[in-house]
Amino acid sequence: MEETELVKRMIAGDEDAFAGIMEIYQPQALRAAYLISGNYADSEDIVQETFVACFLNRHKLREPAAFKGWFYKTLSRNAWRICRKKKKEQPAAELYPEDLPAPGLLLSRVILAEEEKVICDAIEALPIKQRTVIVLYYYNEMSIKEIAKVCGCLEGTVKSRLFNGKARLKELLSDREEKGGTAWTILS
Amino acid sequence: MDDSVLEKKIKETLAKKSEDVHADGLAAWRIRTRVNQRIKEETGMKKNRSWKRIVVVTAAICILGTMSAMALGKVKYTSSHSSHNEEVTDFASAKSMQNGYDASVKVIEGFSNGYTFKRAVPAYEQGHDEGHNVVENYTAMHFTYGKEGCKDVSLSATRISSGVAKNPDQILTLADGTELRFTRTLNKFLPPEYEGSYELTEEEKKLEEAGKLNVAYGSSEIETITSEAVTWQQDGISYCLFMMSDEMSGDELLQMAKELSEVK
Repeated sequence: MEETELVKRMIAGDEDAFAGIMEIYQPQALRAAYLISGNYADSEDIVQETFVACFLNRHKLREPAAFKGWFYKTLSRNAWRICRKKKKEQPAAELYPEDLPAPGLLLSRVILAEEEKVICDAIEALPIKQRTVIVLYYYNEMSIKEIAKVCGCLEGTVKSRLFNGKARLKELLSDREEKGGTAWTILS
Repeated sequence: MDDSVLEKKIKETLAKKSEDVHADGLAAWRIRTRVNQRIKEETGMKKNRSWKRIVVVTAAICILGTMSAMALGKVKYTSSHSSHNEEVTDFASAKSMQNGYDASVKVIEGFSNGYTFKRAVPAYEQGHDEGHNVVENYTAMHFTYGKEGCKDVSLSATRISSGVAKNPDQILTLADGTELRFTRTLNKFLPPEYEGSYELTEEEKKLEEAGKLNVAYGSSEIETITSEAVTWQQDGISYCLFMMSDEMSGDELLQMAKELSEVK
């Protein structure tokens, strides 16, 4: 069933339709929440609170086609609120699963993991609203206009946060190289 | 570092990192279970508000009005109950059930402002005397009308009490002399422990004197809701068109009442 139709039925109180919405949105929402919060346990709480809020406030959604933006707006708010409460975020290093690389590919797998770790650390060091814009733009592939609605700010602000976020990433990556970190290598 | 290179890596890295999240069946089940539980808890609290609606509607009908000659001196208060198990969602069934209870009660499927029939449920009303004995019974369908993006409007009818609003905010008199009376009421819901000890504010006292304040005890928290109602009498039946909100203008609610009252 088309998403808009499911949303209409959900607004009418159809719990099966709401279950269908959860099934569609949960995987990507959980990952986006994880990328924003940097913490898996928090990401489940964020998504849970978002679904509850969306169902309970469903009558406030005037246009079913606008559900996605409304959903991610609620998700972002919950993420910011929950992260504000946390005193310390779980270190990124603990989130990477231990994975033994296949023999013969050891060198390349390690280098890729190290590159990704550098970027991840740099993204997680960004202020949360900047981080949110980075995640929504690069992971969720939302447009500037959509992100502005989600974050409740002007499009110019979104562009500014993207620009400043990338500038900050470049700065952190450059600092790391200067301090003798692993050389930055693009393997692909 | 070239911008396009950085952007490519950001995208790839975020996609790779997101794969740490195993959004598998177990996680989905866990989240779904917690969400459903939270919703049940929240709606369970909200369902307690249904008694508030009954209290408010009853107050809207009676609003310190006079009693019918038949009930004068006998019925001191009324109570009403409904069961969701008997709810019907098609108008034909609702109309048929209403005709079975009292064919004189006017019913309507929709209004010109876009409100349409949503559901209906039998409301079993009882009139009680001073000794709390049931002295009268009356049953009529309680109709709910809905419109996208707007609060629901409910319609009830009774023969037990025939009160009319003392100080309506607006009156519309129809060609046949029927007076439709629009009233906006402030409803204050208080926890049980406030009964006997709550002191009205100066503003609330003024509203009470004008018959525009309804205080009820028994809620889990202090809450104030403004409601709107149009009440009128036709052929021995007291009607109440009601919404638990102040979003509709008096003119619009009166127009809805007019359309219903003109049903043949």
